[in-house]
Amino acid sequence: MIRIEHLCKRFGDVVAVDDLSLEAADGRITGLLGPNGAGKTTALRTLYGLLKPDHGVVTIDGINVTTQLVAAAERMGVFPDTLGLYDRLTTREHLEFYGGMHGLAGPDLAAAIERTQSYFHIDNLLDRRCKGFSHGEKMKVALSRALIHHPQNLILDEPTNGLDVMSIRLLRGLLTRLRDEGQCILFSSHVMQEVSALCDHIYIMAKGRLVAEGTPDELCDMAQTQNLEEAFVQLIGTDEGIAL
Amino acid sequence: MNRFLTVLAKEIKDSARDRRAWMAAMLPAILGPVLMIVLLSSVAKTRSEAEDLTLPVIGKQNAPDLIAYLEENDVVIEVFGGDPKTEIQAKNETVILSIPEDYAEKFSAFEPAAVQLFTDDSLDKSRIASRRIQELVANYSRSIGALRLMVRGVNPSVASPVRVETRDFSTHESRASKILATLQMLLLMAAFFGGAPFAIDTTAGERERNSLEPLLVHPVTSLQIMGGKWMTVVMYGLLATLLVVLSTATALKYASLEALGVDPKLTLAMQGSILLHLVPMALLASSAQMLASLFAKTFKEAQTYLGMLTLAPALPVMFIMFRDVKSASWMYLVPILGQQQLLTSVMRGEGTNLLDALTAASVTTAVALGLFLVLTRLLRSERVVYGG
Repeated sequence: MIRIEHLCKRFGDVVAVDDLSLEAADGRITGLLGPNGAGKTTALRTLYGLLKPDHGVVTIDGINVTTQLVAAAERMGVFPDTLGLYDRLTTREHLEFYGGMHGLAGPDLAAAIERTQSYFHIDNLLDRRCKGFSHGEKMKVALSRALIHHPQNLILDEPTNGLDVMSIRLLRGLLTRLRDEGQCILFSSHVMQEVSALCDHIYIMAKGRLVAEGTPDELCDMAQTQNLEEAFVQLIGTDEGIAL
Repeated sequence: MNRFLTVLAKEIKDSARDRRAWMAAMLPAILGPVLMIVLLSSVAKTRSEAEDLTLPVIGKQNAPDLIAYLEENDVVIEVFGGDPKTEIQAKNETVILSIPEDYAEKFSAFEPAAVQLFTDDSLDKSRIASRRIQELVANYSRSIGALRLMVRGVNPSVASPVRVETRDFSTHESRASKILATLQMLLLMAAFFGGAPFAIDTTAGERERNSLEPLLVHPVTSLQIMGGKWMTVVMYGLLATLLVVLSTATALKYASLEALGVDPKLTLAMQGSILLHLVPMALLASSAQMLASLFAKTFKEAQTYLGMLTLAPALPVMFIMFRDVKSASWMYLVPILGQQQLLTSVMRGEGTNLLDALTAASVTTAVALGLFLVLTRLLRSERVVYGG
């Protein structure tokens, strides 16, 4: 369960996020949709504790991220907007390291790696050093990194950017499965199709503010259009910066 | 604790595979002292070559007695016919002595008989040789003068009212330490150039490859992350220091610096003691370098900062060397300077005072730990994680 209440964050004179509130419940996939520059990444960075809110409260399963970062971090898996792999370590060493960060060791760690590698079929990458991996391969390792400890809360920033069609299908299947297992999934995207195909609940952001929220159907009703795409354009008032 | 070890293990694994960093750090540690000692040896060789000096002379026949005196004093005389200026400027000759034809005439008339000495004092070799010839000629002149006074029934000591008697109290070791001051600089800098590439990789490198953000979203404290990184850099700093000590000791063992009036050797006990005194330097180097490169966004930028920082340990040594400052106990309270003082004592073979050693070690360690705490504070600052 992820909650953002009245979050404000500014950088100098630029207001990146303005009074944003949202809630991502367990057993649901929640989408944060908005054009580039809407403040999605800033909101997520605050959520995983690397930016401090100027105002507002951010909690993971009721734990305040700002004051109890380590406890909150234990309960989340994060796919940030940067991949940041170590060229000289193998995929397995990455998973071992990040699993260790989550307190996994010995047979538990081995089992976690075995489970995680099956998500994106990366067994052929496991013992190769990451230098020279394609963007898609790096993404799969980074996604596996976020999932290594089977987190209750999963936060994904644009998880399909640059992923091939097959992997996108795998990711969709995986997210649906995790949702059905009761996990809380929050992901941001500027790709319409992703959101409409996956999300149970959608928050639409533009210029740092929340513009609308609801299920895909509710959003269509709200904008009095047939499909979500039209609703989205209608609601944010422009089609600039989004991919359909 | 476990997470600290996880970070440490990962940092060591990652850095151990960084071949470029290894080369940049350890090559100078091994080659630096060797090169410096080879350089000193060649200076020593120049000195000893000057001792069996070959002197080209113009007009040798004009002063057979002076020539005989020079030959008695191990100067090999050579007849010279060319143009002194061209030959010296072309560096074919170091010094040339010219004895004019009227030498004998003036000598017999008890007038000062001039001889000319051509030299290029900007060259070490020439300067040493010319000083030697000047000394010999002056001695010759003095003894002839004394003889002339005696012939006239005057006691020669009348003509020398003041005589300087030089007594050199410097011991073998203390003279050696002048030369070792140069080596001290390398020893003090070892942890800095040894740790630098790794300090950069664990901080600015982490930012450059965007791996800091994914790292920090994990349930791990800044202290655990920085602790692991810091220890890794300390380790490489110590390794480089060890290599510099061993390389210096080995090079000194085979070098012959006797011609410089010294022949410093580092015993095993001295090596161990030097290494021990330099441990706080590795802590300080790690903290200072990581702090500087944490603010750099790229590897290159960090290299610029650390290039300057590496010179820091050289400053106290230069201060002492050029200002010829006397050791004082306050020096042990200044980081780096304290270590420099301890190295001086060890290298002179004097041994160190335990209190001084502890003072210097605690001051430098305290500064290192203070900077480390600043590092852990800064790690999660927005400026470091996302800032420019």
